[in-house]
Amino acid sequence: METFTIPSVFEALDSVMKYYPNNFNEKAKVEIETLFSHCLEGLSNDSEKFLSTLFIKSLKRRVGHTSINEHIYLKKYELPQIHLFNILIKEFPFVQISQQITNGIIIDLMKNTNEVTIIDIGIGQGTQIINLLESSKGLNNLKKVKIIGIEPFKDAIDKASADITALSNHLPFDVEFVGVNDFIENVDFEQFKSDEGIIIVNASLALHHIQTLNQRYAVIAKVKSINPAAFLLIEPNIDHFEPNFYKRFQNCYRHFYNIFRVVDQLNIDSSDKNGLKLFFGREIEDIIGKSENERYERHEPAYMWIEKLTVNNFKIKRNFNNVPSSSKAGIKINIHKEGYLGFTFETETILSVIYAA
Amino acid sequence: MIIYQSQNVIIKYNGPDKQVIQNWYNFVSSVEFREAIDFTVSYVKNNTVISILSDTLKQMAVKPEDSEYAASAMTPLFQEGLKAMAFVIPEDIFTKISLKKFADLEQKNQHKVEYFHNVEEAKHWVKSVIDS
Repeated sequence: METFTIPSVFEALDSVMKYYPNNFNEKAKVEIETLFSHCLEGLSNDSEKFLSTLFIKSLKRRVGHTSINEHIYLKKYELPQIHLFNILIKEFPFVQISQQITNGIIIDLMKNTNEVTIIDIGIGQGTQIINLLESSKGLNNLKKVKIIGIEPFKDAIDKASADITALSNHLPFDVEFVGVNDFIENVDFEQFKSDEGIIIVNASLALHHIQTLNQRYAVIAKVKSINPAAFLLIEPNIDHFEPNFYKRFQNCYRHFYNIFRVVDQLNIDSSDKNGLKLFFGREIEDIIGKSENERYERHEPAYMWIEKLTVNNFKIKRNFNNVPSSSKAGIKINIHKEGYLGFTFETETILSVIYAA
Repeated sequence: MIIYQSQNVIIKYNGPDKQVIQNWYNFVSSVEFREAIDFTVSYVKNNTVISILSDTLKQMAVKPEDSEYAASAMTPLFQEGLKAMAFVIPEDIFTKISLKKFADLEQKNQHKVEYFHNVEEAKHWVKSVIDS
């Protein structure tokens, strides 16, 4: 008699990914159905199975007709948007702590000036800026803060504008908000040049949406042209720019597998954990499921951003003064030799904060 | 002697041992798979068969529904007098997953079913069950 062991879920998923993009024959479809059926058993308590189900979901458009209907199995894990947003802001350490660190750097710079212009690339609904303004109340020297929020989604920028304007009435300094409803690639930075005070440019989880390398270099050059006191980037530390599908899949799996393991460590209940994992399915779908010209989430590792910054005459600064000594969920936060601050779970550095000037 | 043959399945009968031997190769379509299962059940019903050796070493992926179909055939087989069934574990990772699903479903029935890495070990075990 033999011990009957089966391969890991990753091994099976890795195998079906080799059929991409045009070799999903009948055998491949049966393999995918087999893997999907296997993943459904114990899905709620197994990150690898949950993640693989999201990858299979992402592949569906390529595979063609199968008996798989993942929607009925995954739907039960959906969380209301507001609840999900609260978990991301309050419990998920990457967004929360990285923005605390960059806000800390901005506040340190604002201590020595009366007037500051903060250009927030991809301001979204303004959550980070609102936290920044709240934390700046004690800066007695500060007279005026001009916020330039650049954001392609109008609903988001309207909310940012409304919330920042409402908050400004309760602050001891003047706040001016200028919304720029456009993609960063299209924005003329000459208009932001100012002789008054300092300029700080913030880009939290935004620059990886710029589609081409040339556009990325051009945007960074535009930022440099206004000579900011700080250019702060928060970016996932992974190569999803990679055009080769199979390599991109391997990067994507490693990145999200480690994120899911972090989610598993959070002090939230299992329905919240699975809801959060399901949320990341949208990114996986973009990275894996879309064709090259439709993809939006084109992350690059920190060292590639640093290369773009240094080519454009930015200096990489290492003086992160407000890094928490311990973090949630087994994440270690350390400065790496290239100069970025990395958020690392075990051996995988998942997120980076880059401070350039 | 060969008692059934399709594109990727050969079923033989070993008279002296009263044993049915299934050999599965490559990718077996759902129709072909179920026909082979149905044939085996029918053959066991109409002949004296005390063991089955199912060699899946070279078999490719099996649909989850087909694994369930095969598991559902086990009780009728044992009701017809089958004493033991041995599987040779497949090399293919997806077929392994399918066979594990089958094994999990079958485990509840407490039939004499076991899994081996080669034919010799499987035959040896079947003989030990029959002789006991």
